[in-house]
Amino acid sequence: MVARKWIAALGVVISTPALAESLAAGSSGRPVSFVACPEFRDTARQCWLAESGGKTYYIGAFRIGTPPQLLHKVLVEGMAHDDQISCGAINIDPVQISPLPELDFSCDAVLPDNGTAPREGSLFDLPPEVLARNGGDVPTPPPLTKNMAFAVTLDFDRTVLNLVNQAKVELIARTIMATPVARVIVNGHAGESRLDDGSIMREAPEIATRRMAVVRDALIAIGVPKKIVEGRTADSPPEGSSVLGPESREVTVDVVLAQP
Amino acid sequence: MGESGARVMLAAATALFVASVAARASHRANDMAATSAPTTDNIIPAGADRTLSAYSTFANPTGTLAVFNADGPVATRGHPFFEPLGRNGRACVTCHQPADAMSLSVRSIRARWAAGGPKDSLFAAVDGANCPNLPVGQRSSHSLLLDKGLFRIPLPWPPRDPGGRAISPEFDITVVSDPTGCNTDRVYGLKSSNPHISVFRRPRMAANMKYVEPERPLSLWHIRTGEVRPLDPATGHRLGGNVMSDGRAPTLIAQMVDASRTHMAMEVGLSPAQQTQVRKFLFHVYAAQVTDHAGGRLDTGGAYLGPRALRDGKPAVVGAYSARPMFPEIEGWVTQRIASSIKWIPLVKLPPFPATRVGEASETSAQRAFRDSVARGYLSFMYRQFLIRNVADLNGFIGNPVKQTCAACHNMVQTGMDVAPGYLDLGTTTYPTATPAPDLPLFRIDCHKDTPPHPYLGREIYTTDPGRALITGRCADVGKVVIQQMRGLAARAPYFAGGSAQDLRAVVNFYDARFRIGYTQDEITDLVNFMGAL
Repeated sequence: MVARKWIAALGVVISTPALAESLAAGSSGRPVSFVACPEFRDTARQCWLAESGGKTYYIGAFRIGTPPQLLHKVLVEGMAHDDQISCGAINIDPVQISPLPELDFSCDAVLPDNGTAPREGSLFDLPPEVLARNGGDVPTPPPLTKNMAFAVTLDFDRTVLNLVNQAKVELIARTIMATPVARVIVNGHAGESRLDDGSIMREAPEIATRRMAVVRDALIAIGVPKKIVEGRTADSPPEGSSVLGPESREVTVDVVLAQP
Repeated sequence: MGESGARVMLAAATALFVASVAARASHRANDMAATSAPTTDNIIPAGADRTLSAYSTFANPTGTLAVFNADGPVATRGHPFFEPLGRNGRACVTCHQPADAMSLSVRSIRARWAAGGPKDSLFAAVDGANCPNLPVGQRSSHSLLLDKGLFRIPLPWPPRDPGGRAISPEFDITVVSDPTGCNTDRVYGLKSSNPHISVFRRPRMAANMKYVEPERPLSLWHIRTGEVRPLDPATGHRLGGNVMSDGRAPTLIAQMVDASRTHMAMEVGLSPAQQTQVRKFLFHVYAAQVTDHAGGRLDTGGAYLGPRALRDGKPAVVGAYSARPMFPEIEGWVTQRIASSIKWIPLVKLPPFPATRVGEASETSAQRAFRDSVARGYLSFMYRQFLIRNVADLNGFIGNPVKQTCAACHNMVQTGMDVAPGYLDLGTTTYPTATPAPDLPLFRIDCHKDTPPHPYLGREIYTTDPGRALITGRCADVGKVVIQQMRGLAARAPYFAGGSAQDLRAVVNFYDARFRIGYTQDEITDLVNFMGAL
């Protein structure tokens, strides 16, 4: 909860991909995982849709972070709610979108406005707290009192820290900086996703090293002393990971406190 | 409405139309006059003994630019910005002329060629020629500078990190076409003993620097790339990343050291004391347009355009439509009548505007037409929605496509820079969207299979300037160029980093084609007038 409040204080316009948490908590909905071309419906709310298994799913509106991309297939992972219809399609919430890196020119569907979405809505007005904060400080998190493990979940086959993960990494770094810490171990993983058709998508093993480096370098750039940071990689999901999905492609950050 | 009322309305509408046509015709006439009779009267040569007033004005094709030094008058004699300190007779001012909004227009470049030809240090072979090995004194040897205002920028290949170590690039680069001969030259080319890639770029505006290098950028992060902004070792502040088009020098100090060694041929570059003096000078210099031939003063009638407002503004502020106007200096010219006349769909509901502007009843017809046009252009810039597609890194961050406006990228209040910062591949130098440029080198980029491709151009890319990728070695950075500020535009044509737009109309036409916006000719004129007034 503290982390969420702190992320909110950052004031970023985000749709938090709490998919791993939802799956772990057994939240309502039907888990889905599929690869498809995203479709852009040109409405005021800019609906994103994707089809799988003969059904059309709503995978989000305009958002900042890791949005769908035409010219790319996307891996869609989330909880489908058959009784919730948005933009004329079955709602997936929470949803994690991973645009696949390679170009696919067959993914180029811009659909006309068909009246299925609200026409009004300011999509790019920044929230008041962002306007108020513009250039200002963010609050310092409380120090740790015991060893702690943090996790940063990345998009499939990608290493870029989106806005959600930027906030997470910043929180981790500032927590470490507020705490007497002996060691910080950054573990990068290459993960997997089990699709609805039973197949398994595996990431390239080398992505584990790139992910680890991205998080490690960010922690150091924010101010964590380089000498206490150690990077490790594994070309497999984190130990104990029970789900073939977003959780399997985490970068974990283990923080070991200094002895008093 | 009675018949007499209708006649009055018709007469008023006719007068407005005539004035509008007259205003546009006036602009065209001035453009032609400016093109036909450029002079060097306003050029400050390196080593001149003059005083740059605290407030100077300079004529340009559509009106007058003002350069305001908030620190008072400056004596050029002995000042490191104005003195030729290197071996080739150049000073900083050689390429950053006050009359050209502290940049350099093709208009004044041609005037200098006409006046002094190759003897003017501006045309030094090192970068004022298409390649240093070309015959001295021939116009053809300097055609890119004379035609497009482009200087040669030789960059090492493979690129170097800040510590000077070679970076292993994610792609191979091949010279497909080399009209200047420099990229295939045995001494200067890609296969020489000291491999370099020569690209050709416009000099940036060295004014309004507190916006270009703000002390406090918006966030800790390059929010689109997910990288932490580096620290300025001199100040301890996070860097904005908007100083250079490819970001190779992250600070103004680093830029001036680099420029003094390369463009000015100094052995060791500016001394720390000289760096401090130049930085202090540039952080007090503000430049913006202040009059228009048709519209008169730009700081009357409720508007307050000009350099003094830039001195008083706050940098690194994101414009957010009605919550925070992008160019508050213009808002005073927008009325409900103008807002009601737009025929395009705004992205968000327009805020209420006053019924009339200050002194509207006493405006001349030409003045009224011009102010209305600027106001319409401003509204279009800020609110007119269109689908933005395939722009790395923008669309990767907010969706591809995304329905947005010009202000989505040009989002910094009062300057139109990008707070994010603005490394973007808009397609000005990458094909198929780049304007064909047979006078520029053409490179083919082949991205390695084990690295992320360019998000919209894939693994085989053709470009006249790989941009940021020549610094990072990343395939995904091919074509990325930092958005520059939109002030003083009337004084410094041509536009875009590669000089591909000869005038502001060409700029709008590029975007119109690139994003299939469908501007009418009147809308284009409004946008041109709006940008020209900045």
